[in-house]
Amino acid sequence: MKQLEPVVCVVDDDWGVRNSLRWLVESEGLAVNTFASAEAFLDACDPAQPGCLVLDVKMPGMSGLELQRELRQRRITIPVIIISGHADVQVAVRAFKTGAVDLLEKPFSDDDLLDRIRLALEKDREIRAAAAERAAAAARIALLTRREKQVLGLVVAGSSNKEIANKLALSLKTVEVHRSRVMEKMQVGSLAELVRLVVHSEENLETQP
Amino acid sequence: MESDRQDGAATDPGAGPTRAEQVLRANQQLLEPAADANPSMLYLYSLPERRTIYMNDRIEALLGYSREEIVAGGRDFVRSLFHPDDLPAVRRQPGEYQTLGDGAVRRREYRIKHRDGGWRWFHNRESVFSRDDQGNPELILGASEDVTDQVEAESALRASQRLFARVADTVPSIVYVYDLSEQRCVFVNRQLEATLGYPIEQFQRNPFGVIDEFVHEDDRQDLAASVAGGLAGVEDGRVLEREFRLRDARGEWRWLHTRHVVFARTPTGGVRQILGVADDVTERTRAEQALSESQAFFKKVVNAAPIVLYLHDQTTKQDLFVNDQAEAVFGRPPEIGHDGFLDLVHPEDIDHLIGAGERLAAAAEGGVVETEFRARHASGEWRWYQDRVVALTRTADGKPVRVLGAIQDTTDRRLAEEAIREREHLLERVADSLPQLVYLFDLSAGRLQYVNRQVSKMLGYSPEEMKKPGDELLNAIVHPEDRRSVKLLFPADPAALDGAGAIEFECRVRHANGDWRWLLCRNFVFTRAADGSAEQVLGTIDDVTEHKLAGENLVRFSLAIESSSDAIAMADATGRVTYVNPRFADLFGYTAEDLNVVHPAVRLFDEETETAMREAIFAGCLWTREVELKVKSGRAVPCLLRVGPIQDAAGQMVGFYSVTTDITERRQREEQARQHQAELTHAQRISTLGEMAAGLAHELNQPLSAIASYASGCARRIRSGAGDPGELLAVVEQISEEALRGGEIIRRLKELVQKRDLRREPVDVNSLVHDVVHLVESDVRQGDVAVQLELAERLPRPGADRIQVEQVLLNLVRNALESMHQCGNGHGAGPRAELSIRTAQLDGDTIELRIRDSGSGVPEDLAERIFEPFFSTKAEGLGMGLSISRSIIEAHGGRLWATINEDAGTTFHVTLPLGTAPPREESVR
Repeated sequence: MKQLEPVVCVVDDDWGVRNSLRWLVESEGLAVNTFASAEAFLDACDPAQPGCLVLDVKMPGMSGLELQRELRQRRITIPVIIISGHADVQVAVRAFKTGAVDLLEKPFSDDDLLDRIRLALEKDREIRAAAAERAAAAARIALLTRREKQVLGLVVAGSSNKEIANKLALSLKTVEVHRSRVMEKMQVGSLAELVRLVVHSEENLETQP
Repeated sequence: MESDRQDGAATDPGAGPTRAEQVLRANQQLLEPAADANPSMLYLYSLPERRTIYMNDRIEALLGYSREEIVAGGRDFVRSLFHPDDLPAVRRQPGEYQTLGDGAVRRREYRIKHRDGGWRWFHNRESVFSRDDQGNPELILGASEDVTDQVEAESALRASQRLFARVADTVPSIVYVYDLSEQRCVFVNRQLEATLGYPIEQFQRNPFGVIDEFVHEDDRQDLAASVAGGLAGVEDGRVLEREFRLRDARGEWRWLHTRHVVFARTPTGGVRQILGVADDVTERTRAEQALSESQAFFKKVVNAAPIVLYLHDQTTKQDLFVNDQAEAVFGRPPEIGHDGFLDLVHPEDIDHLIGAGERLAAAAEGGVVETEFRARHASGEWRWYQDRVVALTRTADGKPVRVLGAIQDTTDRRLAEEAIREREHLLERVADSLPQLVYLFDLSAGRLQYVNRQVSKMLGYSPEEMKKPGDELLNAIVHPEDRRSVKLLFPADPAALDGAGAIEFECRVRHANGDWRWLLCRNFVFTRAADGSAEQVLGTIDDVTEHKLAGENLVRFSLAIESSSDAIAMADATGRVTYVNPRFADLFGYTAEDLNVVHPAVRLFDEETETAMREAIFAGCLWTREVELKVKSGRAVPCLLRVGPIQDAAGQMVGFYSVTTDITERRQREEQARQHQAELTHAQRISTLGEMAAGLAHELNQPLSAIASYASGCARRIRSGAGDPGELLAVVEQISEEALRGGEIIRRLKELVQKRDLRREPVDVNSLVHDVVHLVESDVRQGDVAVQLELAERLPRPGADRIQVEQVLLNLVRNALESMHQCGNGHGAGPRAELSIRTAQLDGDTIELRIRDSGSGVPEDLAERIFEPFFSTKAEGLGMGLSISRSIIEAHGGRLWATINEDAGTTFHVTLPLGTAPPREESVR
């Protein structure tokens, strides 16, 4: 999978603030996209694009908090840094509840902002990697037959081969054949690896015949 | 034939000759030939031997059995031939013949079965043929004769007699058979009883003769002659009719019409019985008598009548009858129905009269056709006549054949009617021209007979609508509470009308439009019947609703004045006080009498006030002023005094009134409020500043954070040596621009915070508007409000304290923005929030500012209350903003008020005078 360059998106209705932020963030060699409103950002938003979001709370039209809600609804997991003219406790609580990673009060130091942007991009990377792994595991599980999925489910649940044979009314040998085929299809070498993969996939495997 | 049941012995041929045989033999020569020739069966029976010793040959012919068969059959066979019912009669009883004398005959009838199985009736006769030495009967000679045909004929006769009786009972007439020899009815049907009330037996068993007893004396002879003699020579089947009177059971005479036929005759051909069928014709006879009497009477009447009567046949054009009056009226031999009659008729009416014929043809059966025409009277003068014609008979297709006509002279009646009509017309015109409602009520008919046109004007009903029955009218239009009193007059209690004078009463009546009107009714008797009781009532009605209302209002007004909290006094034109209300006496301590005493101590007004007042009153003006009045106790009371003239209808001053309000308390309240307001105005301003400071801080943050970011970006580039001087320069220029932006915000804040005294200077209201809009820019942006400015060009500058006016404007604009925020117009849904500010010059010396929002608005009833201190529609408002704003504007001699927009929101109006001298020189902080 091709890795895209992360982009820092700045949403602020004040042209001066917006423009100065671009100037500052670009000095770190990061790509910046600015938007004058939450709506403009939503229109251009590509869920596949890695990056983070620097967001002003108070804007005409859709507010920063409203944009956060909208992103959650669209299952866009981009990390959000809130910047606010006068951050009160209420705004902060609401911002974090809706999944912001950070909140900065204007005016803020350049280091503060840039550190937070770096952390946010790191978090974004992690989220995306986890999602990719989950997708890969799910894709492998999807290759299994129904019987193999049952065996897998029981293996992950900690059953021995003998127990599995009893439970599924199969011969021990058959269970062993299924089990080795599962290991092969799931592309793992050990039971520990297999368990990790299944847990990450968040798939719900049936353990009943 | 005979049989013997006593011993059952049969003829014994072996025994020697008995004495009976000896007797027989002795007579045999004589007897046998005769016996055989006899049509009856003959036999000889010996009593001592108890057997039949001789029988002739007839038995075979009568019963189908031969003599030999009977003898051979013996006693039992013979017995079996008799009908079981007749056996007891056939049996001979011992000693039965002992009493039978010579020549006497013993008779019996019995049935015997013929050989063919049918029963035959026999008539048997026995007599003593010979006796022994002691004279006892020895031989019995019997003869039996077949009487079957005779018996059957009798039974058939009896059956037909029963049938006759039944038939006779069912006919409606009295049917009877009268026997002339017995002089009684041998048969009478039940109808007799129904018609005359006699039991049947009375006619059948009358020893004296029916005719003598029941028939009317005058009719007896005729009837008797007719039934006896009359029918004597008449052949059978010929009917003879008679009418005669008969007394019925109640003693009344009934006319009977009877038809007689011969029913039975004597052998010699004379009449023995008569069949009569009689009907009760009493009613018919009476009617006929009455008819002939009335016909005679009618003829007299017809000829004596004052009208011309005629009966005319239209097909033959013949007068069948014309009474004597015709000649008297028309002076010539009567020929009413003829065309010739038209010569007498007025030329203008001829067509009309001819048309009557057609109308009669078209009229319904029995329909009378009336025609009025003029004709020349026998005296030669023209007179009016009315012809009433009715068709008595018609042809099959409905054409009148016989017509009966009556012609009456109507000249006098017409003249009278015309005179009445003219008089009525005149009266109606008079009545209609009266302003009152005039009516004539007919007590006997129980309804209005006449009502003038005024009714539609006064009550909205047509005169016809008012002529419905009185009770109905009463319930329809008179007020329920007044119905009783009205009903006393119409028409339940004519006694109330016995007096000669008018009777007046008031009642409420519903106008056609549903309003109740008070009516004053005056009634008096118009005509009286012969016994002096009222017949017609003439009434007039005036609508007194206005008077009533005026009267009621007067009561209310005086109540209001009596209980008024203002002191009210009235005086006549000379200044004499005629009335003071209780409050007046309370307030001033003077009564009306006190005030009329001329005394230097009693003086409410100083001279100057009195003069001014007098001038105003005599000019017809209302004079109002706040003055201090000295009351009886000597205290000076601040009062609002209003004095006005009282004028009569012509505008002439007849007096004056005064209304005095004690305003002591109001003065105190106003003073307090003024002090409070001054304090609160300052507090408000401080609080406004506090609120604004938060907003301004945010505003200031924007350029500051931009500057920080720009500068940091520069520093980083310079440190890493990546900075391109051209690029850096542009950013540094941005920095200084943002810094200036911040400076501008600070300047505005400073301006607002500066505290100054009220200072009047010409204020450019338009630039003031721009400044205020600038101040609220962030709120505007945040609320997504469209701001519209309509600023008049070349607007004159009123003299005002710029800061204070700006504060008012800022307050109004912020209120507007908040109200729009409250109703959620700031975000997406609904029409966009709009704030419009307009400036304009009004009528030369005033400028107006209008601040219009599309917010939640205020309820109409609160439009004035929002200016009261501590009144707020906002959750966290102090409720002072508008109150202070108003006091500021009023301090400038202007006005501040609110109006409700038609679509949404509120508009605040501020006016400022351009003049230089405001009425109150006060500084408001």
